[in-house]
Amino acid sequence: MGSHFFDGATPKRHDIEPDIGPEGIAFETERGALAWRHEDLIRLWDYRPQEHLAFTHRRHQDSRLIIEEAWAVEAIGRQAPQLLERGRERWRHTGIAAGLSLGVLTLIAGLYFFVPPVTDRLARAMPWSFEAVDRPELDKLALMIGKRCAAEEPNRILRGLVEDLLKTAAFPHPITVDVTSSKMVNALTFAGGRIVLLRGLIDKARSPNELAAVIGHEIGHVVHRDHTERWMRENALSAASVLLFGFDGTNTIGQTVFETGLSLSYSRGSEQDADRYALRLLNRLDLDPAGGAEFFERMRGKGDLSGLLPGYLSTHPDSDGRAVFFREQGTGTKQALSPEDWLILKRICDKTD
Amino acid sequence: MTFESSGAGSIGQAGEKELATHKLSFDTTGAGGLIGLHIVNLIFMALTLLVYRFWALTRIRRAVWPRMRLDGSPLEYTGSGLEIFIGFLKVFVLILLPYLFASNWINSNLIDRELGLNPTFMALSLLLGIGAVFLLSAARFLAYRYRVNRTQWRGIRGSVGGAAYLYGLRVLFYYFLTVISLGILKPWADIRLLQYRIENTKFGGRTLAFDATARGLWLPYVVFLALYLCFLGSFFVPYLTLFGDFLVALFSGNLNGANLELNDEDLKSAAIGTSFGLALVFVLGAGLAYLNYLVVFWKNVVGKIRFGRARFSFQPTRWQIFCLFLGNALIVQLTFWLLLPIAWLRKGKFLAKHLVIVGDLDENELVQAEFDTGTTGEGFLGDFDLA
Repeated sequence: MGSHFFDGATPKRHDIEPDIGPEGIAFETERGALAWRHEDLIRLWDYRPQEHLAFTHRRHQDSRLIIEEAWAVEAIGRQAPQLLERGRERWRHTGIAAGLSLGVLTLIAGLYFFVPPVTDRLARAMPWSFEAVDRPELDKLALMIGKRCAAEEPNRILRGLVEDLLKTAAFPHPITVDVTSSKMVNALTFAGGRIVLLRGLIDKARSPNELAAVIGHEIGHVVHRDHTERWMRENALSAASVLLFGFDGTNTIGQTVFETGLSLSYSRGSEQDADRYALRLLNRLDLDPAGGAEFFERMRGKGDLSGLLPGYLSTHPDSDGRAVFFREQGTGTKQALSPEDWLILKRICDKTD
Repeated sequence: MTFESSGAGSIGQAGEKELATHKLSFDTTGAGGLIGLHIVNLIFMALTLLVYRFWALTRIRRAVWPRMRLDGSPLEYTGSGLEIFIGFLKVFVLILLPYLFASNWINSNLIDRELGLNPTFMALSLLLGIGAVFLLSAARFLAYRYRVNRTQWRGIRGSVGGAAYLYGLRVLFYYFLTVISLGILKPWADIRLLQYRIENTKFGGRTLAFDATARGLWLPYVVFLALYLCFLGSFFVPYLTLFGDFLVALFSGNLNGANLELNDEDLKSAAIGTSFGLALVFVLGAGLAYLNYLVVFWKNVVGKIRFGRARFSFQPTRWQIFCLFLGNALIVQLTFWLLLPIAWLRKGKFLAKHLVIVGDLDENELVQAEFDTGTTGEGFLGDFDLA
């Protein structure tokens, strides 16, 4: 074994005796003499065994010069120490990782701070028909949320309450509010302005203003075009996720945390906006906000897991904060319905479709 | 004077004795450094939410490739993380993003408020699935091409011709045939796809030749398929007992009085006892049968690869391969992937020990191929032949 050379044209090995001088390395092969200047040498750092030195030439990068003898390695170290010392090359990957981390942080900050306002504007600029086409029929939802509650008089009272709120909202597209027979305490907003209150919510509500606050909140989702906005945000998140984590069909833990974390943050933002909207409606109608506040106080720790999970793992803002917001910012004094109408409304599910 | 017999066999034997055997060796020293590199890569990947993976992969390849030596000279990997990253960015913008948006649009319209499942969007969704198979297959071909293009030995480069989109179309065609044959044609499909890759692979100016057929693969594959079907069938065992009751009632002429309904308790105990036990046995059996199929497959195909006058041979025993798989699985799982480099070293050593290259490599005739290596990464759009 000894120093050798490959010319890059064939794999034939040329054994050589290197002559190492201050200007470079000279050697002879069967094809003639070659002299490589130190500054033209590119060290191949990954060559093994590592006590041998492997070089290629800046202008002939398929050729290989392998130096094996210890004396020759020492001589190169004396003549051109930069070829033995990796120096800054050693820290190159730390720099790459630092740069990429910075890029990733910038991307996350962009997604966190810029995507919500941009998608908010874009969603509002989208034609209503884009969303209206997805508006579901109630009978298609019956399996999930029960049948429509159809008692006539309570529905008339509900329509009156909704009309008052909608007049104040002055939203140019149709919004419908129905009650279905599910016992869950919840309200849902579907695409195309369909709002569904579940029976459990009506049963548990203690005042008409609680109901008015919830309806106002759901109207807020419709007016803010949250359905379209959520679709846009999901697209943006998916794109960012593929950019960061690749596209191989498997979800890593990091990917799940990334997507869920940002998605929950977006959701909390939308809920806060809907709360603000609901309060504006209540204030304009001079309705007492205590109902809304009591609703959130009662919701605390019930079903929304807010007592168990930290805030950043929740789809909704903290219930205490929402209650305080309603109490502090509300200015109204009236009730949304008379006590008699409220009692009648509570019987809305006596009859279903 | 004694003459050798002039039969072809004697000439063949004498000829084979003279064939040069090229020695592969794998350097397993310095495992600590490799583990350190792996851990640093993991940390960097965690800090960059996996974006560093392109550079991590490159560093590992650059560290592992040169450990394999052929006739005393190491392999080299000359790819770079930046190349692969830029290739990925191009594919991301021009293919993945449009695909993602189309996919979201189709999925969000799959349910029609009047029709239930919308047939147009169902068809589009099916096309989307086929598109995903096509893209992933083409991407796999590109990754293979990139790895070979960036591998050198004694300064000589590898290269892969062909087109990624043709490979993707072939995958669709062969696996379509496999599906309609209920899986039976898979060995044939596997061979044909590998043939496309190998016959388009060059080292220097010389192309690899491949003359494998699926002969010898059918039996191991059918055994796997049978065990797999038994595994699926084991979930229906409770209903087989019902069928047994039906037969008894039929032959005893008491069909009307027979109880031919499974009650909950029967179903539960049969499902938990019989089904689960059988499923476990069959799934383990199917796993081992598939491993056996892979062993036979690779021994078969490696033996059919030619490089000029040199041929390859890969003849480890099943037990040796099983020990390699099991050992590596235990090392990786028990150390939470921290000692993954040990598994790489074991694999490399195994390959060097059992892969034999016999015959003349014709070093004087093997010349560098004249082609532009370019700057294409593992996902460069040009490789799709679309750019």
